[in-house]
Amino acid sequence: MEKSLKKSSDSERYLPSDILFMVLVLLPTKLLLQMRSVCKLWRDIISDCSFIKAHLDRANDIHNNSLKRYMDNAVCMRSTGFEESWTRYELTIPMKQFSPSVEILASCNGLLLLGDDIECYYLWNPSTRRLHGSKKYVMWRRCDDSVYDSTTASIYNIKTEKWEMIEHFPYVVCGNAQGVTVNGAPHWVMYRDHSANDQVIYPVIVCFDLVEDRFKEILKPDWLDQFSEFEYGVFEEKLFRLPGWCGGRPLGYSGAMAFNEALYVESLVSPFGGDDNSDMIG
Amino acid sequence: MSSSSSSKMIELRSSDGETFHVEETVVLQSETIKQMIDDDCANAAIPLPNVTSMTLAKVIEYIKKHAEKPKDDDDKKVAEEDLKKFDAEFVKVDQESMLFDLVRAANYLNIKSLLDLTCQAVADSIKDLSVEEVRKKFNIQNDFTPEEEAKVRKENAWAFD
Repeated sequence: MEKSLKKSSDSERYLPSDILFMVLVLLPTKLLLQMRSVCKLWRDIISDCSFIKAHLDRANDIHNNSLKRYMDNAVCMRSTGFEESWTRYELTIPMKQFSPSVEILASCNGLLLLGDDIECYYLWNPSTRRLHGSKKYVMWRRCDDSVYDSTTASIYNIKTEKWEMIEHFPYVVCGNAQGVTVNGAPHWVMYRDHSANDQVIYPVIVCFDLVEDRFKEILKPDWLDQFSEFEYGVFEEKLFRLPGWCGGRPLGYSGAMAFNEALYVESLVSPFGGDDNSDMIG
Repeated sequence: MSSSSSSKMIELRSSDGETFHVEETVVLQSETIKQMIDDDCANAAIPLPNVTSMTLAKVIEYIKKHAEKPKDDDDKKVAEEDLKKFDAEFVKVDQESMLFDLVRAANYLNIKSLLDLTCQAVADSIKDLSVEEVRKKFNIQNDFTPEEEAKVRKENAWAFD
């Protein structure tokens, strides 16, 4: 903490690196990316994992709404924050790697998981415009094409670039229901598999426990109609129910996801306190 | 913090040898000095070799203002507004180096609210500057070779649009 101060007049406008850290963490992402070219010390501070984590924590602070963005429709990539009008991100994702059917599949810690129908998956950070095609550990689920058919679940490990099948998965996923992330854990609405009785299927909320690497059901509210179709979203770290379906079409855009502006992903830690650096997306 | 009328006085000595007498309840906002008092190291004047008298006078002005206690709830709202105005004016310093002095002093004395305030003021002062202007402001030598700098810029070229 104590830093000796040089007496020369040149040092009057000198700040030790621990104070620089505190100042720089207050700056928005785009400016930080510019400031990386000030000098090597600044570049190293801004690129450091602990700095990135601190910057993300600030963005994730729920009292700091101004940094929250909503994004929909991966193809035209536009987002809106509370403090400004629409921001367009067109031409900022490397579209040539995706088929035109690219979708935002999920979001977590400011990152978007993009995927298309040719099974090309990428982590995209709209704040830094960096694309992560490797290194990270991403969880995702796959379901069969037919709506009420049995579903298999696999975990995709980006480090090894391999799918790992989850043993004993007693749920079916309806349609292309998307997961949402609450407190760092992905949640989905699924149907409990009643293979013996096709007429009765119950919707349940299932989350994936990243520590135990397994799926768990969570209690759902009493008011929830057992047979209604529903989807969930997240707002301020709380799970909320999206408006119901009407005539088979969603009211409003059900794929909209909340995410926070933040630096890139390298330093995230599991919110469950796991000591690996596994990042996930729901 | 209790009423200040019977508070013990603490003596602080700046790097240039000037002494300041401040009530203990006020000076406790500095974690660094609080620690010294707790460790019973505050019987004589506390030397602050990293803080000049000019900076220390400003810091004392700040902690005195922030030690004022509102009498009731109505007063509290007025006091909060008043404090906000005070803070906003406080960081509008004539000399730019004074802001840097204050940040370093707040860090050394470990006064969190003053550190937050001054860090934010420095961050705000950077917001509309170019890289070149930031180097000038912070008196930073560009230690990149032209090739290295071009590479760093290219990594995030879009941010310079």
